[in-house]
Amino acid sequence: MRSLESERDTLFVWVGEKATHLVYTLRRSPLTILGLAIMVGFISVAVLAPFIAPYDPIAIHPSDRLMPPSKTHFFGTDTAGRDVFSRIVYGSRISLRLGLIVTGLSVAIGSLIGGTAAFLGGRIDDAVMRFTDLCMAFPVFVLAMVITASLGPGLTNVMVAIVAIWWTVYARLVRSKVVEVKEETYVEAARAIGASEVRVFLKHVLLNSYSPVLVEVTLDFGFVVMLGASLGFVGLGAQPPTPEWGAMISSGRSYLKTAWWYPTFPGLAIFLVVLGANLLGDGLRDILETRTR
Amino acid sequence: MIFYILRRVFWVIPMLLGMTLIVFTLSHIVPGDPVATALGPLATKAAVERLKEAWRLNDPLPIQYLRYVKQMAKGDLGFSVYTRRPVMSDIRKYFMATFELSTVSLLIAMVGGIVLGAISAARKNGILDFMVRPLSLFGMSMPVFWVGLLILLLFYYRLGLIPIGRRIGLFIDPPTRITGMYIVDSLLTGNWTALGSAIHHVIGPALCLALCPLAIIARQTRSNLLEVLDEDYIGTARAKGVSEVIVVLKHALRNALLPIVTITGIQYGYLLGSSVMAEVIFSWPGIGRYALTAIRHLDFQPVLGFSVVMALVYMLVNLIVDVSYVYINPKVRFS
Amino acid sequence: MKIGKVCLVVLAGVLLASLLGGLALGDEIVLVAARPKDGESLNPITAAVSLGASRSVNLLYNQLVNVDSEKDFNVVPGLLTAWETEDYITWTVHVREGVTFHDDTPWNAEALKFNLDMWAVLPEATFMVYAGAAGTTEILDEYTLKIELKEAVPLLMDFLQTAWCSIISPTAIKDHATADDPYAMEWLNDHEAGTGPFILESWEPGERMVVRKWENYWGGVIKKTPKIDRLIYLTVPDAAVRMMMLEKGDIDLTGDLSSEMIADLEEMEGIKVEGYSGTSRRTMIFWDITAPPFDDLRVRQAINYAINYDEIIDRIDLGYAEKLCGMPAKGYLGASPELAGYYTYDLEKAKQLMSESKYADGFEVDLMYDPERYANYEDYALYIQSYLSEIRIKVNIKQVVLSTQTAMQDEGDYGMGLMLYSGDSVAMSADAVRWQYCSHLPTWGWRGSHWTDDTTEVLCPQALATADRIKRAQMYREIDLRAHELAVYVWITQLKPIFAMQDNIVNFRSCPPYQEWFWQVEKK
Repeated sequence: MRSLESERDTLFVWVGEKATHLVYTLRRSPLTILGLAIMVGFISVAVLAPFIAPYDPIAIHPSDRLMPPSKTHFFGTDTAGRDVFSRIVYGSRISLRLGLIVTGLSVAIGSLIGGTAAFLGGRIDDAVMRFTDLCMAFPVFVLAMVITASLGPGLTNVMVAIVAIWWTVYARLVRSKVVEVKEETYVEAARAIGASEVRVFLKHVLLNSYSPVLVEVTLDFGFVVMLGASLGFVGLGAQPPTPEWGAMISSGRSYLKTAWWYPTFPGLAIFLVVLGANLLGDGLRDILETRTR
Repeated sequence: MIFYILRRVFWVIPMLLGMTLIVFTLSHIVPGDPVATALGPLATKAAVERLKEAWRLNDPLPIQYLRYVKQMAKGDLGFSVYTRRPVMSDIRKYFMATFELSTVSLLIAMVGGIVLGAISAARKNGILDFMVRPLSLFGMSMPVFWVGLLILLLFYYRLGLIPIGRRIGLFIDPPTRITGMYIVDSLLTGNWTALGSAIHHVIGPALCLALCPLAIIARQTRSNLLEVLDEDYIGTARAKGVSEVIVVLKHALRNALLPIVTITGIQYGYLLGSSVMAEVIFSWPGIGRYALTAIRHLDFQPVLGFSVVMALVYMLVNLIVDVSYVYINPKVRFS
Repeated sequence: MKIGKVCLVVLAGVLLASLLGGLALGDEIVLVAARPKDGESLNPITAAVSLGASRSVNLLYNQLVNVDSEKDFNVVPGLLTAWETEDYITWTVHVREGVTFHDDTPWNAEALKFNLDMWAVLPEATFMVYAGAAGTTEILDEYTLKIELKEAVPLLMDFLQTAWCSIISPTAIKDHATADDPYAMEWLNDHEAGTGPFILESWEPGERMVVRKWENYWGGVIKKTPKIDRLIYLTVPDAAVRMMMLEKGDIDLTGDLSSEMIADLEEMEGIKVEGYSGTSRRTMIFWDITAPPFDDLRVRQAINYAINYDEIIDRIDLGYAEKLCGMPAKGYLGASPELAGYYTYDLEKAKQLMSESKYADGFEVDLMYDPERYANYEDYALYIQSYLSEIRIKVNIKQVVLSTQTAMQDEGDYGMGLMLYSGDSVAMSADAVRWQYCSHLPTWGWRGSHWTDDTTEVLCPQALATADRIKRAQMYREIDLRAHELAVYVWITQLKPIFAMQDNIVNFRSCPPYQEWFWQVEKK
């Protein structure tokens, strides 16, 4: 009992130290704060979408066809008279959810498989690594495109396709980290005290490989959002009338000249989210990795 | 060394097999009927059945797969229902356009990225340096298809600087086909008119694709260079009174470029993938557009062929990158 | 700094080169047109069913007979000059003299026999009406052939004017035949051997097709050779790009633009926009009238009343369309223009009908369409979704490819299908409406609706067997009225083909059976 309590205490202290350090370094990096602000902003927009969006993102208003940006329609309207601003606001739900689910699932699956493989080693390790090699032998977008095409267009299938590729990234990452940590003295020590293998694995090994994963997740979040939008753009993602950003640009691209706002604002939204994730991830890397630039 | 290359080349085979197996299985889950597509909406059921029989689409899946692999070994990637041509001949035609586009983009990205990165490192804390980091993050965050639209609107429509919709001028005959890449072919045949026109036509889509890798390479160059500039031997060179430009160009850059070479392979994969979107926007007749059309028409043989070729090229490029890395940097040993 | 100079020199060279390239052409009259989709192949037999391919095929080949789209869409002589038949089984046909193929093979009864016999045995040609009825052929003299069919086909000549019945040089086929491919189908994919007004010069599929005027052209229906020396046909899928290219003067002519762009181009100087009547491009909603919920007439009528046709025409098509009056579109044989007013937008009536129906609580249904078929389809689907929500029908939009859609419609119970019929794309005459009414082909005609009663089983076959045009038209009108009474489909719009071109382009036309009529185009 006592040892558990003290363990918990040390964990608290450890988290506290890390947090203080994080806040301290964050303050010195305006770009990271900007990234954080963008991400927080978009997440709030997604959560509060019904309160922010002035119009229904799906209901059509034929008489308001292709209205330029104005006080009533901040970002103008599209060919069906739908408010582009409202669609972008609701679209943030789709893109952020895609990013979260895909990175979340990929991390979970990847670290489980990668960690296990590294911990067990031997044949299993080899097999898993060969499989990840296989997935990495493809240009990502090509593979995502082919898988989505095979499963049929749609948002769920886009997620399935990206997760199917993406977990390998984390599997490799976690594996290399685990292999590294496995040999550390404190893990050896834990084992020597008689801690069970599972416990050693979960507590000491996996927890200690978190920082590169966190950085990777943040950077990948942007990449995944972009990938989802790209699939939407080529017509393999969300189907109409879903307000997906990539699909919006795809439909709006014919109106680039006659109604510039239609393809422009969804593009800006994608750009901002990806930028936010990149800024944040970049900052986190600087903070969490001791090597400074 | 040779053993290493051989082993890497040998690895390509199981990789290709594994990958075709995955894509083959997936593509047969697709609802929809390629034969019905082939015959058009006027086809009778009997005609569909007859053609299915002729193409042996009623065989069990594993047998169809084995047949596919056997054909693939002979360089036959099957038959496109939609274009009514062997997939191989389609791919040979469209792929080179994509290859030309992505290679030019890579060149732009590397030259631009290294120059930008080097300047900003050399003038550390100068205005350019101050801009490079946020700018490169901006570049990395721009969706390719969005950049493409902006380039289209600005450089084609408003400024009229670049042509679109073709690989070469309307009234210029393509150069004699040697590689299928217009730029290379016109260089080889000394057809300067075609060369000029081909370069002019590739610039727009290539710029659009190059933006993101350019940003990444610029960043990487900058940070590598800064690290190298801190090394002792640079200090020595400086102490000897070598001018700063020479220091950066001759001593530091060469060493800083080594890690850049390794990321080239990854960037190339990115370029191959996103060229699909640039092709759609700029009406560039490449393999991505071909694959998209095939996907829309549930024509799975071209899709399969497309992924095989893309993976193969990607693997080969990475192999070349790794081998050349060894040449540049003899310190690396193979295990 | 050196790099900068090199770049400048290269750029200057590039600009100079492209300038020279433009000048190198001389006095030739070249017309550059752009289309959204290239044909997959040039083989008339296998590919002409597709829109892109039929456009190419019509430049290079001729058919035995043509349709006079100026006047009542009657069948007029093409490569045949006359034909006689007593019983529609035995036909004596007279071949036009003085015509040669592009490969200098003479056109005569022997060449005709070769083509007819080929259609009878080629598996790819099975959907041709001729192939189904093919019997024997016998050469009477150099320019006369006797055809003996297995059954009576009163409308044989109407069928023979379709693009897939294009006449191909026998010599070329024999020269390029292989053991596996006795009719050189493969070779015909990217070569041609026709009698048409243009000769294929080069073709890069999906990019550019160059054809040049054929000096020895026999003149076709209008007895004239082309007025342009060369036609460059570019494939540019994106409508926005085509529009910009037209505006910048990179191309002379293009079509398939969205209504927004047309409205924009109309205002522009140096560019003219021309609309052509006589299209059979029709948009309709299909459903299976034997499957719930569409087995209830009141539901079908309610939907017909719930759609605001005027709004679709004004807002989506910006006036470049009109309400569709029935299967034979306005201006075609057997059309009933008054039926356009049979169902008009009346929401109260729709609600009333819906509440009286078996499905008064509403239902959920899929609406499928192929987005490639028509640029404004997405908006159509969205508008329909919104209209039907007013009468408690929840519509889920589903994008599919045409082949999947037609296959599902053939199976039945598929929800709703948004269809675009473009009869003229396969070069069918105005009378082509028979395809939709009485076709023996699956997925066409009333089959999509699974409608069977006396009208479809007795009247339709009768119409198909009636050679007299006036009587046939009367029957079509009867059928159409009955279809409206039963609300077999929703008839939405009849679209006008619109082309935008530079001001100096004259005499371009678009009319069935030819999508684009290039051989009288002039460039001033």
